[in-house]
Amino acid sequence: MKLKIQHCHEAIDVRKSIDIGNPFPVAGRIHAMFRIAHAAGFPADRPETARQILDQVEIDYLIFQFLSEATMADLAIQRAADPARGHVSEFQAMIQSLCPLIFLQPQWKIITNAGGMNPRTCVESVSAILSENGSPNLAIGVIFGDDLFGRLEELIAAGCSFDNINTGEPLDQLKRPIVAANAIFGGEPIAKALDDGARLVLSGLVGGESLAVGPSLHSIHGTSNNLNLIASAAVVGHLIQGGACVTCGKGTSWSDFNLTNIGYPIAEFDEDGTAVITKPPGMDGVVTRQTVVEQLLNGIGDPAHFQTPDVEVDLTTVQVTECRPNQVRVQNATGRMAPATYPVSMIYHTGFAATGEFLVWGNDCIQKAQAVAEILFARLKAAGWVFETKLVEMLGPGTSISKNNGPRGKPCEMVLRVTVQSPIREAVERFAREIPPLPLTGPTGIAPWNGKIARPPIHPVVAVWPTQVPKDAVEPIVEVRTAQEWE
Amino acid sequence: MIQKTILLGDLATALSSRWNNHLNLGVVAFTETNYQFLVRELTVAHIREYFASLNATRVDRFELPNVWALNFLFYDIFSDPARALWIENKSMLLGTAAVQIQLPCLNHS
Repeated sequence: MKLKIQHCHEAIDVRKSIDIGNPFPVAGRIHAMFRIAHAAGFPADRPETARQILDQVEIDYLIFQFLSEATMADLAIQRAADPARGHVSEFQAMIQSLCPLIFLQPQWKIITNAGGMNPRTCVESVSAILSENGSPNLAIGVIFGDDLFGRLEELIAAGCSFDNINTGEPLDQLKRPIVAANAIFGGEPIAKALDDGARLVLSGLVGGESLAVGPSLHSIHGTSNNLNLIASAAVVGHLIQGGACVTCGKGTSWSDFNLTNIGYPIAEFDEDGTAVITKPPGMDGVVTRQTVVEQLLNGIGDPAHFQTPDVEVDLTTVQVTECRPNQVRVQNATGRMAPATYPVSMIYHTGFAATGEFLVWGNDCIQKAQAVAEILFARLKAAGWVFETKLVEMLGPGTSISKNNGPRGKPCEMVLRVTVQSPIREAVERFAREIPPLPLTGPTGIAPWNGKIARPPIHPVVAVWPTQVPKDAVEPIVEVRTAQEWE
Repeated sequence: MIQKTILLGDLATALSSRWNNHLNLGVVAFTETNYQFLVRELTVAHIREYFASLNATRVDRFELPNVWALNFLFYDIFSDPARALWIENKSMLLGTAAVQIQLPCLNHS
């Protein structure tokens, strides 16, 4: 049997009823309220989460939020190697696990940015799975138009400068090849897809906060004219987009709560902008004022000017109250007009990297690790390679984060990790070749950390050029078709 | 009167994450009294000294009194490729390290 979450809006209504100037009696009022569950925070997140939520709780929207700067970089590398890739392929297994429920429980909708760099390939693969599993007529809305990669010359010719918003540098200072450029859309195209009847909304680069703004624009009349309401929805999206991070994942109180079967967050969003953050009742983890405020501060910059594609949010006005165990009320976000530009994630190729790791044993392990690193770089120099971008890490003594930390005693074992990065692949290949011989040609007590004597793999490396594009230069395109039609 | 110290972790939790080219460190006090103590004692100079090895070009502190929290921003630490290499896989750990910060705590005895 499914549990309906008891929510705590009653308490708020009592307060509202004594507010001066509220002409409407609270009794008998029907709230426009919807419930969003968050089932994934990154591509490699736990695949069984969505099913666990749906088995326990009635919801309206199920969100899969995959995209961060790091994920976009990975997807850009994938697409550069193979034009058919670059979407979140892990989403296929997640949708497969939901197929029987999609058919049996028509009341909830899915919103995801699994399209990544390649929404078309993503929708084709997802549609094939849905068609084979009894839902060929499922309406899927796909959001296109964020991919600016093929349009860069045209946009530059039309006057888009793509200056670096952090440094102010013009784009022509970027001497490396660009591999991807995506505008980060807000919630509007999601709402459009929902308005047009989509059961599954699949986008490319839509901001994590906006995955909650879309349902709000669709479900609550008048949201688009109410900046505080949009800000409240963006705060909900912000809080739940990290998945289990708001239910004690990565948590300071890890020893007080079981985290084995950690529940992912559910947000109940009311038409007045009040949200309650909770989790499936039968699952592990915990939602407290502390876990919610920690997540509120996650990656925000200046809290009075938190930028999302939909709205600028003043987080300093937000109030967070624990109203019942595992129910935390969030309210009072203030919104201001978002800039007339979309943020753009522009990704460029910077070179190649490789990492060598050794276990170093002995009371003199720190000195030996230093010696190994010196020998390695001396050999590379003799071969003609000097690395500007390199990193020697001593993991174990406790000084890798702050020199003020760490035990007072001397460690008797540690991991030495050496990383180099270079625009020249040959230089990194030479580095990789110098790694396996080190345990047998250096000091005693050096072992390969991964257990075998082998050359480390060489990875392509990309970086982000943060920039923006005027909203009137880019148009989100929403197409809704059945799975069968997309296939 | 003797000067004692107290661990930040006894008063608050902390978490860190990347934000643009900067590092974001949020500190969430357990109580309002703790928050007021941290507003006084957990200064930019203090936190900057503790994380001196980050080489931030600037550190800003923002106050969120409603939720008893402080947010610190360490600027430009991802700008330099070698620094970025260092911090990339550790940005989540800075918060865990921050709770080891010792703060002065005046005790009458």
